[in-house]
Amino acid sequence: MTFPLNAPMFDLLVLSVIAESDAYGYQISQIIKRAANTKDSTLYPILRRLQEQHFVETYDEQYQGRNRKYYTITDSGRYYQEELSKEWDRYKTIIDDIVKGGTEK
Amino acid sequence: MTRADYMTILSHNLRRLPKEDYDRAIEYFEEYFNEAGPAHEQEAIQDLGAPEDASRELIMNLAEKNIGEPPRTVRRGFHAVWVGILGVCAAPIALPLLLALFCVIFALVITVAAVLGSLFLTAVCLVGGAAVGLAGGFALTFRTFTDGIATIGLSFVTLGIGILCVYGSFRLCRWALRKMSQSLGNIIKGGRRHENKHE
Repeated sequence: MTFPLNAPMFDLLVLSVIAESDAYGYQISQIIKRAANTKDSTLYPILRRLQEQHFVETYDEQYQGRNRKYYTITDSGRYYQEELSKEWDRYKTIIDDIVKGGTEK
Repeated sequence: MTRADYMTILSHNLRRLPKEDYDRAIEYFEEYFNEAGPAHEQEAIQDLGAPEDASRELIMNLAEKNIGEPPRTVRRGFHAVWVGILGVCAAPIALPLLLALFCVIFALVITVAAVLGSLFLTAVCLVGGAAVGLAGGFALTFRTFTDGIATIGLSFVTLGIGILCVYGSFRLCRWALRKMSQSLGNIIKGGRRHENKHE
């Protein structure tokens, strides 16, 4: 990907993934990878921060004898995700407008 | 590089973090490797990126977090300042500049600690003096009643001031720690902005 992702973009992607269903770290990074050209290790500080901001909570679950930490979205996380999503829609429309021959304005 | 090598470098670079932060990070990376499975070990290492970068990113992120969040206790405050110092060390700034910056920060931390320490000591002395005065005043009441009462009263005044000072110095300590960790976080954030501009 040519376009770098910034912090709010990462927040939106991660929150959108776990808004669908709870997921564990490796799973999230495999999904985010499609859009990001960053290293997988950058996901950890992001998850950490989202936890501190109470947008995300975790719980442990056993899987084949080892521990999996699942991430789940909170109500305020859902609200934040919706806000970011609306913001992204606005931004996307403007960019498309310009890219697809927006000579007006 | 193997998984073991990766984890060794990572834990070495993170070893000075507060225990909770350290444990959580190690746990995350261990889980990542477990999920990837032994067959995809090399792929996982590729995807994660250099352990040095991962640890630096993490430490700097923790330090930047201090800008927004006030520490709840004095102990947490100390942790925050420490993470801030680690963050400044991890930040990619030219070495001589870093050294100078580190000296200034060190001097600042020592100065603040000395001022706060002496204030706290004063407060403790006040309380201690009040206790002695109280005992003396009590003994004195049996000889000259009025002198005794006056001494006891005075001791209570000192005690009151002492307790206020102890409380005040705790508050001041928390405030100072917060300001310090905050400004360290800002230094790192500023440095990073600068770095990004060059990219």
